Amino acid sequence: MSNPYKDLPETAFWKTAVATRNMFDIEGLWDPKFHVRPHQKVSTYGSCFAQHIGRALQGRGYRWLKSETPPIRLSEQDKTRFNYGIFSSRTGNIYTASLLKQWVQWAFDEVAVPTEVWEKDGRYFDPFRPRIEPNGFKDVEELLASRSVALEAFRQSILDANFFVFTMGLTESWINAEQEYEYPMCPGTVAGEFDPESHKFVNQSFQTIRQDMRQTFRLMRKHNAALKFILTVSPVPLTATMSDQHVLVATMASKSKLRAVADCMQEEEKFVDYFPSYEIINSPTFRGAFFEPNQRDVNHRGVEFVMDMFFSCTYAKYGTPPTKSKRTEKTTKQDVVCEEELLEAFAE
Amino acid sequence: MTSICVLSNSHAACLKYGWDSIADEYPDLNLTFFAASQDRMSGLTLDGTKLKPNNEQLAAAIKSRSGGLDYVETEDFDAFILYGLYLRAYIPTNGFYSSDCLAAARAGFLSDSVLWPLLQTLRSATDKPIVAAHGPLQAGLEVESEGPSGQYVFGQNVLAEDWFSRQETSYLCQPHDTIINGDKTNPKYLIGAKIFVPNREDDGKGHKSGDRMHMNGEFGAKMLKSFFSELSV
Repeated sequence: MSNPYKDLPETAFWKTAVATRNMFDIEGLWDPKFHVRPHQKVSTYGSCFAQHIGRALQGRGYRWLKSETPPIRLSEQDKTRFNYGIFSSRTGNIYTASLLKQWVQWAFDEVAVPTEVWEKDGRYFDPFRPRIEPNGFKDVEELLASRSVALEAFRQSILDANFFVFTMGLTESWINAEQEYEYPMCPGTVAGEFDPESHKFVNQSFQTIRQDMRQTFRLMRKHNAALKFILTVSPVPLTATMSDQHVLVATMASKSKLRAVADCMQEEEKFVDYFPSYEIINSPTFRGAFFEPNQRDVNHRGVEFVMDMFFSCTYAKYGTPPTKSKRTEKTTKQDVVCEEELLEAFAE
Repeated sequence: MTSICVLSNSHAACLKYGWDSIADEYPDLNLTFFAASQDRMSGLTLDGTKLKPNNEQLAAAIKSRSGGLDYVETEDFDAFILYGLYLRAYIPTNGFYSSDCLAAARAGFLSDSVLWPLLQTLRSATDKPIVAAHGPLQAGLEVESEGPSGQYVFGQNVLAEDWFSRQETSYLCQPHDTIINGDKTNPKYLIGAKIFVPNREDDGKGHKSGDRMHMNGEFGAKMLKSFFSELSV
């Protein structure tokens, strides 16, 4: 009897693709839509997990675009402390689609950048990059000058890039109630002061996220028509939730929305692909092996496995690049800059 | 007689041969050279008022270049010159950076050298005058312009005012008339540059071909005169 399942590849069947394999032998999880060539420029932004992608690309001899460079002779440790080489420019974590939209609108002068700054003990903090400097800025002028540099570098990283990799992290967000701009972190956690009248919690819906993502990509392609996107969803659970749900349930809800948006985007737009780092880390098939004991942080083996999958799938489809591949840099917990983790300090 | 202690690495050679050529002009000065190649001078450790080598290789280098001394007795000298010792000219990156970030970069720049930690050790042992300078700028290939760039001068001023002054130390630029193309040494100072390694076969011989970092005695004499002027000797 003929049926359409007969002609499907092994990867279409759980038994052959998963059940009969050692978990480390599972392959072909991604069919890349684009050929990312080593000479092409890749910008990376997003939540904490996005930091691994840029480094892995660079470690394999690909061109990770870093449009905001540190001053000469800044040590590796201080580069991390001052957030150089974390993302393509010093935006700090961009957790939500709406935050990405906000940065893009500011960078291309679609919307004016808010004037809000936070002061504590004579030091000044950028509400949109609250941990970009370990001890804040010395004055408002320095803060604003630094933000201008970051915005220009962010703009350049869109204009110059061939690929824009964005890791979606959160749906829970904090909004300025009066002017409706978004903070990456709830005021009063990293810096600033929380005011229940001024600061509004919003758990974004699937529809809102999809709309923001569409608008953002459209705006970016208005300025760089050839730009292609690779979306990922951070596998890292929420540190804390304001949703009134259990944090485990809230995590599943948030990640499900983000994953669904990513699926829609890659289905609907030929210039958008989705890379399944979320599934690799989170699927029960991998039995939580890639998490640290706190069941939240991804260990370096997980990061390496994810990135090995990225490259092996690319090479399988398009061939191994002629340039000599370098070994992926091992990433330790200390290398990762993650503002959201500070919320853990508020757990009693 | 004023006794000056020179602490350096392979760049001690240009100062030594420069001193040989101008010593007659300074009959009241006596210079003693303490030097070892590459970063070996980082093996000097403080013992009371003395800087002593902590390994045999350094001890041998110190002894041969100083004319037989085993260590630096800081009380025997009236002033100190620190030269080269893996400190390069600080030429800041263009662009805006926060003051904290720049301070971190400059701290890293200095701590990567042998000169800066040695200066701190020396300053903890003595309050006598100390002058310091970065090693020679790499020689240019040909002269396109004469004199230093604004960035070069600015970078050295930052180190002098924000860092070396806190160690009560004068930090000097390379003499401006030796600089070409903004931040290179005039290649004429490469001509006849020689190694200074007493008791070794290659003492007084030329540096390896293609070496554009080690300068001759004429350059060293200019550098020394600059140090002497700062020390008012």
